[in-house]
Amino acid sequence: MYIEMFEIVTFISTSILAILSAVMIVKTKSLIYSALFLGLLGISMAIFFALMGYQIVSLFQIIVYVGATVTFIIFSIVMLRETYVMEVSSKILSVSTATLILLVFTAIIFYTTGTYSLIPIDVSYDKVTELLMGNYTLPLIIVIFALITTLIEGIIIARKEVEK
Amino acid sequence: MIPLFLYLLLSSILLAIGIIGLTINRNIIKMLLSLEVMFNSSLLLLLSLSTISNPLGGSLIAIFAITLAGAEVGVLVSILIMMFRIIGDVDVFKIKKFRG
Repeated sequence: MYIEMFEIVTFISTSILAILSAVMIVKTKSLIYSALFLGLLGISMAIFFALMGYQIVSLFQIIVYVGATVTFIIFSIVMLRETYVMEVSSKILSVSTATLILLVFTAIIFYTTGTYSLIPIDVSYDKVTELLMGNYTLPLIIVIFALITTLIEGIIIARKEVEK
Repeated sequence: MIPLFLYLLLSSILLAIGIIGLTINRNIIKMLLSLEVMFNSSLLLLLSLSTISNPLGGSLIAIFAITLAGAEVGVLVSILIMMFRIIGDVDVFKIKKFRG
């Protein structure tokens, strides 16, 4: 009983946090604050993953996404001097498109899922690592190479420009 | 137990906010951040749907997606910094000057 109440309260508060963070990412004029709110959105997503029972993905989200990706964005924005944030003059088209997409998705969700409730699952750490090292070795190598390219890009950005 | 449609509804709301941010902004960094909002919403959708079908496969795809998102952001941000160094601005309307 108490656990269910805790789960519902956590879900509602994290949903509010996620939606507010997403709105602030779009609305804030400062790029640094936008990136910080992206970190907050990443943390709220990690809480959702943990609520569903994906503890490993939740940890991965916090370590890799919030800890590396968002930090990389923040440090890159610091490298640029303050840029002027401009918006297109007519927002009606974009807002109406997004509303239409939201309505279509909501209708599909209500017709397909109904009142199905999620029971928290338990994804074992052993099984995930076994699958990663056994069946998914090639994708793992590709991901490692992709991360190495990111490292190289970071070095290239950070190096001093040689004057010609 | 939280109903599945609440997760999916939240994912749709985040997707809509991301689309609005992507289409109303002219600053390419703000567009990238809006794309990241859309990525987070799709990740939530993937994991909530995989709970009812294949949790293990869903978590593996999510791990790969998070890592590749990090690499993708690295590529995009380095392109942005190069663009800023060349034309001194990150406005998408001035990107024509960046060609060739």
